[in-house]
Amino acid sequence: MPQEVPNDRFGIGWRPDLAAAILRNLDRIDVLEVIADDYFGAPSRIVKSLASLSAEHPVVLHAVGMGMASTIRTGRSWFNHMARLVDRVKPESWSEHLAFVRAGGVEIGRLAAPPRNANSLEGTLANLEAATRATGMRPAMENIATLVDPPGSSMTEAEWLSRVALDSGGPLLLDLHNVHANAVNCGFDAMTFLRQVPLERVSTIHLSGGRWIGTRILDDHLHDVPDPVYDMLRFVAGRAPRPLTVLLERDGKYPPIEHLLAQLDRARQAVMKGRREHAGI
Amino acid sequence: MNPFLWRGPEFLVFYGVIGAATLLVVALIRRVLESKPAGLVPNFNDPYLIAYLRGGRKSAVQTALMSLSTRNLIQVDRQAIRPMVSRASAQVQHALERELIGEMTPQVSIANMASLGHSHVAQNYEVQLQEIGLLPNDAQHRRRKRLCQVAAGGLVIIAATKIVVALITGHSNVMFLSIAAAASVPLAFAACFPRLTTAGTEAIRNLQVLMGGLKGRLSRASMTESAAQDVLMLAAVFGVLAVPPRLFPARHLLFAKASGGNGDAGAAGSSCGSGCGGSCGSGCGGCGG
Repeated sequence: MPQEVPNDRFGIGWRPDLAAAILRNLDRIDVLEVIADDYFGAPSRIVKSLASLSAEHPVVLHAVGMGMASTIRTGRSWFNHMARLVDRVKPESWSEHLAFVRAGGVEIGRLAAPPRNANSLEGTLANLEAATRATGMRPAMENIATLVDPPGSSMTEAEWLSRVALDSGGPLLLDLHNVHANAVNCGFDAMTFLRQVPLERVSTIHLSGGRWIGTRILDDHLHDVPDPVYDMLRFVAGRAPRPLTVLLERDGKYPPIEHLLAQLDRARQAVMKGRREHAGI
Repeated sequence: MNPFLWRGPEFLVFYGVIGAATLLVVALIRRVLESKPAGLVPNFNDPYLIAYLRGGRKSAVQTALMSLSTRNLIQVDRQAIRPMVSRASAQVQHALERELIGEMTPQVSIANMASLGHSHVAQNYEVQLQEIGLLPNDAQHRRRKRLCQVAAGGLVIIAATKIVVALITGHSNVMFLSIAAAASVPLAFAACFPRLTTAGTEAIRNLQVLMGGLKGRLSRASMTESAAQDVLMLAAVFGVLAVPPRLFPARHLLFAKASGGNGDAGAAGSSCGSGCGGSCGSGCGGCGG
C-alpha cells in the first residue's frame, strides 16, 4: 500500500512510554515526531541519544512552548534552544503551534488561540521570521484547538490561517482533529474550512483523538482518531499537491502499539483514496 | 633533573602521574580509533542481540530465561529449571530459546545455569556485532594488543630502569615500585581491552536513554501480550534485574546472585521541558495542540 503513494509518509509522535514499541516497529513507521521542548537544555547524553535516533530514522521536531502567534515577540532563547537542537539532531523539519502561551510575563500553561486580527498576524509573521533566521529552517505552523472562538477577532480562523501561510510563505501543519474540534466548538463546517485554507501549503498533517465534554470536544490526545478526521484526511489528500507527512499523536492512555499502527494504516488508506480520487483512478 | 635519580617517594609520584597519563592517552587513542557516527543497533526485533551487546552471552541467556519464564514455558524452583514444552513447540520460535530448551531438557540445576547458551546463536551474535563495529573485530583486537604492549611495556621498562638504578646506588626498598609496575600491566589491559568498542558503548547508552521511560511505565503495567514485549526489551536493554518482580515472579529464583551491573543502569528517558504546561514527554494533548 505505501508503494502506491511513495512520497507520502506516515509516522507517530515519539513518547518515552512508547519508545520500545516504536523501535520494534520502525519498519512500519516512516517518520518520528519528537517534542523539542523536552530536549531544550537537556544534558548532552540525552540530546546525543536523540541524534542517534535521527541518524537512523527520519525525525521531525515539534515545539510547544514558543508562543509564536502573539503580538509579544518570542524570547530569543527559545529560538537559540531550537537552533542548537536542530544543529545537533539534524531533523528534517520543525514545527510550532499558532498559539500564544504567555502574556504580561505570565505563562498560561496551555496553548491559547490568539485574537485573529491584523495585530496578531503581524506579530506572528515577525516571530516566524525571527525563528527562521535563528534556526535556518522555516517552521511549519500548526492550527490549534480551542473550546471558544477567541474574542477580539476580526477574521475567521480560515482567513487568519491562510494569511499566516501565504504571507509567510512557510509550510502549514494542519491538525485535522483540531479542525474537527473547532468546527464543533465554534459552529462551522469542517469541510468548508478545508476548502478555504491554502492546501497547497500543507506539508504535514496531525491526527489525534479527543473526548466530548458536553457539546464541545476537548482535543486531549488520549483517544482514537474519530471517523470524521479520516474523511477530512481523504479530502485533504485529494487536494494537497505536496507529499504529506501524516503524524499520529497520542499523549497518554496508551493502547498496544498494534492499535496505534492500525490507525496509521487507516490513515494510509485514507490518503491513498484521496490521491486516487483526485487522479480520477 | 633526571627522575631516575629522584628519591623513592618522589619517583613513585612521578611514576603514578606518568602511568595515569599513559593509560588515559591509550584509552583516548582506542576510543577515537573505534568510534563511528552515532547509531543504535541493527535489529530491534531481536532483544537477545541487544542483551548480547550489553552483557555478552550471560545477559542474552538471562534475558531469554526471563522471557521463557514469564511465558510459562519453563518452570523454576529453588533447585532446577524444567522446560514445559519441547524445543519444537510453536511457542518457542527464537533460535536461542530453542537451544536453551534443548539444553535444559529434561531439567538443569540452577547451579549449572552458567553452562547454558554456549551455542552457535551466541557466536552468530558475536560475528554480527563485530561486523557492524559494536564489538571489536580481529583487526581492532590486534591494534588493541599493540597499544597495550606499548603502554604496559613502557611503564614496566621505566620502573625496571629505576629499580636497577636504585639497586646500583645501594637502595634495596623497591617493593612499592615493583607493585606499581606489576599493577600497570592489568590496568593497561583494562584500558585497551574493554568488551565493547566505543561505538558499541554509545549504542547501548543511547538505547538506555531512549528507553528510560520503560521502567516507570512497566512499574505500573500488568502483564498483557503487549507489555510482555516491552518487558523483554527492558530486560535486554537494562538487564533482568530491572524487570519488576511483579511481572517476573521467578526473578529471585533465577537471578538471586545476578550481578548488580546487569540491572542497575538507570538512564533517564528524556529531560523535562516546559511544554505547554504538560509533563515530561507528554506532547500537547489537552492544551490545544
